[in-house]
Amino acid sequence: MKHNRSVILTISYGLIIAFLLYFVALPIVSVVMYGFGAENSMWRNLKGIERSLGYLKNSLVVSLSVTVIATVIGLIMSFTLNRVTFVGRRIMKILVLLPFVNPPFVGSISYIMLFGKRGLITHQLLGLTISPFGLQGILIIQILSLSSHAYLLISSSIRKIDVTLEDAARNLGATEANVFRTVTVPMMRPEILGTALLIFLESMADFSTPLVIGGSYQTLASDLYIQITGLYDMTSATVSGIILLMPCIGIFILHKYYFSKHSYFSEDSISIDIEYKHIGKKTKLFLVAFCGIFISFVLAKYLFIVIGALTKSWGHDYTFTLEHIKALGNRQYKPFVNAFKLATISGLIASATGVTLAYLIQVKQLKFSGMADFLATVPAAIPGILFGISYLVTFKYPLFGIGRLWLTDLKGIVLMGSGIIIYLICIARFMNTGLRSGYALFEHIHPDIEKASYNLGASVAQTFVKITVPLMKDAFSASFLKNFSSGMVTLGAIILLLIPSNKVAVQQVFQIITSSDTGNAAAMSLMLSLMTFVFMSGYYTLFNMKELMERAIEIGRRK
Amino acid sequence: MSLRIEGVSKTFNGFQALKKVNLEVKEGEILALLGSSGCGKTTLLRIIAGLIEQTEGKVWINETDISGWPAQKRNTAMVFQNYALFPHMNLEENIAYGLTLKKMRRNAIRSQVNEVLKQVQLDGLNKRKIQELSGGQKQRAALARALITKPDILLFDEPLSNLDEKLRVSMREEISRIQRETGITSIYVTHDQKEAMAIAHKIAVMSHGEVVQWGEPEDIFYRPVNAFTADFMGRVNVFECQKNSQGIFTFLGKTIETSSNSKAIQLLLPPEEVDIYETDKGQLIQGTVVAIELSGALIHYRIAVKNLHLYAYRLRRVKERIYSENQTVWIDFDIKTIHIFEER
Repeated sequence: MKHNRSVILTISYGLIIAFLLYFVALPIVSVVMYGFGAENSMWRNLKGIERSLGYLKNSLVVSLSVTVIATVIGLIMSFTLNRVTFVGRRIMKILVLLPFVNPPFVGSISYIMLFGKRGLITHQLLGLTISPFGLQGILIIQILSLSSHAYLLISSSIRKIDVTLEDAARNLGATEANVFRTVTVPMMRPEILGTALLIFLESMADFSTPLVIGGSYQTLASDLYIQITGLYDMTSATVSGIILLMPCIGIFILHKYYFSKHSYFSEDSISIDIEYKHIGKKTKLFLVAFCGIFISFVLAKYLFIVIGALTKSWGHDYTFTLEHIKALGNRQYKPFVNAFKLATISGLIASATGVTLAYLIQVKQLKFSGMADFLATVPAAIPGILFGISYLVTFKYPLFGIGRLWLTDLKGIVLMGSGIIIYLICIARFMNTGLRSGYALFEHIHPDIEKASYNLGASVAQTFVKITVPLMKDAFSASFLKNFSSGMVTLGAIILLLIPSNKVAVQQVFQIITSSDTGNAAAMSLMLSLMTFVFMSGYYTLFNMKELMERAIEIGRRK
Repeated sequence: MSLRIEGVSKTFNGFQALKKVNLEVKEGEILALLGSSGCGKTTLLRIIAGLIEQTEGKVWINETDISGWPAQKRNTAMVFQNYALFPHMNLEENIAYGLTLKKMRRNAIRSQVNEVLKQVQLDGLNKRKIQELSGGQKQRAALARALITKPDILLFDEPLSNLDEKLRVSMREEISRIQRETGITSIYVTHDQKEAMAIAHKIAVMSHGEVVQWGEPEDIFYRPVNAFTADFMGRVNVFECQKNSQGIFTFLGKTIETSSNSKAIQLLLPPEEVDIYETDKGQLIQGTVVAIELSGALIHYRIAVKNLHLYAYRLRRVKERIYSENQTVWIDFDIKTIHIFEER
């Protein structure tokens, strides 16, 4: 339908594709070429490969165990918090999401505070000076934060279950346990497996936890960081990166082209009344207790951050002080501003382009949409640190990277080292959130809505502005909130690309932790979490002002 | 097995969905619960299945009070409106589901599955995926899955509403046949009065959570208790009639014999009882044809007579005279064919 195209939309589509080719496809291809092509490539050096494979084994041990445990915890929590009624459910539903506003290593800091060499439990209570660093620490920290992700992912599909199927099973004589085992879980299997795959990817990409508390137990992702910052060995880093990339891309393709296509749910089936009505007392008690315990762990993480930020010197001197908080105001406000700028700007652009791209792909069905979709989503599968390295090896050359091939002498414009590059990498990484959010929206909207507008005489551009954009607002908002919170705490992708003038807060925290100044690290983490939280609730309130006002009036009237 | 519902009420968050419903179904009979959406018929069905708990009242099967029993323990089987077939199992697994729960031996299950598949004419499709079945086949599969458990009571929740007209007619004959063959006491929820008439031994017309009328299809069709039931059964020509000064009721000049003491009555003039003539043969009532509608083998005339509009249905046969719009006609009917409502 040629007449349904507008020039502006086609140009935007072209620009988005150009961006994706340039900032997603090119870096990935060039990092792979770099790894294979380097003169003293480790591919010719068996020892090097053996070394990388050793780290791969560590990575897999961590990721596989974390995936299984976190998915099971996430599953239990989503069922309990969504389908069992009990007092305190609403507050639990909010608390379980706390890990989304904190920097990834808040857990690590608390862990060191409790079990470190000067830890509250190991040293103070038990009088031990053993080292807590190693595999178990990585597992505990990752499970605590990734279970919340699993919870969120599974919860989003739990409302789609058709409860009449469960009723049908009960009607045929199935006990509640039977219903769960033979109907509920098998129906959700594709969603559960999909969640597991995403958890696996996140665990594989996590380099900070092993660095901070892994001790001698390092994974591929953390090894990449060590190779570059410690040993300045770009070649081995790239080779390790390629080895890390393979399972991740494999899992990504499996998820994208297999599991997500096998859902039993239709997008528009949303059950309202999904509460279990005949749940046994003991089962209920177990489930609620389980969630309670998990959430108290999550809270404990924060509690120790707060205490750490307000005491003089953890492990030595527990007197109350505002010293760390004051220090924030004195010299370290710039990184917070930088983080805020990065999160807001890249969040806005990535969400807007992502949602627009979803519209162009799904509603307009233009050419190359398969490729555009792949390129916009694949950054989700690439460990951040590796994506950073790929920018490093691509954009240190002139002419925005292409100059490497033929303009070797020209200084020209080098993206690397400029402030813009961290914005670009964040946009490339965050666009998939907007895209997915947009897909979810457009699946609900019948394409005839636009046709109705054409039919009433509106042009393509008018229709887009008056009909489509207002519809996209919610998808944009959801994506922006998610991207903003990720942007505030993103580290892996940008850590190698930062220059002194645009240092962000997370990186500062990271540096302080590695130098074990817990008080300052805690204070900064706390500040960062608070900023994210305040901004997000402010944004939410602003956009839901009307609804909130109405509710307030309603409450007032009832009194 | 017989079923008895005794004073069942249900309140959802302050909304009263059922108000003290009493009903009874004799062994081997089908009772149709007829009503528009939101009248409480599906709620009642789910209460019988134990999927919803009633606020008050009792449900009896034979002489056993099953009111507090969980759904699993009740030997009822439901055919759901959207079929509720398990999408992650094939046809055979769906149908065998109830038996596998009872830990029956595989061979026994297999032979029973094949038997019931034959009964609903799906034999040979054992391994089909649910997504590959047509609407009618899904309907049969849902019925088979319910039948195989040998339930005391079969519950149908608008089972044919997702099928097209032609399939609906053949499926309702089939449900009727299978129910009569197996003799399982059944409850059939529908909003389609034709379907209820075709399938049921008894009909209960429901409105706003109450049973308005309960009886045999003929009774309900020819002798509705009030204007609501008449309207719901597709009966037109409901009129109101005042007592005149001599204390008698007349309708279009004809005297109605009734023992009613009230000042006004409501009556139904069955449209199929109205005759139309081209010329006045004496004592006929003059009118004008306002609208004509062909409805299959029937012609529906709307005729303006005095200050009211009435319908007349004529069979459209070759020798039948067809009138045109605005034509003056003469009508007649036997006053004994009118039905006076007991309730207002």
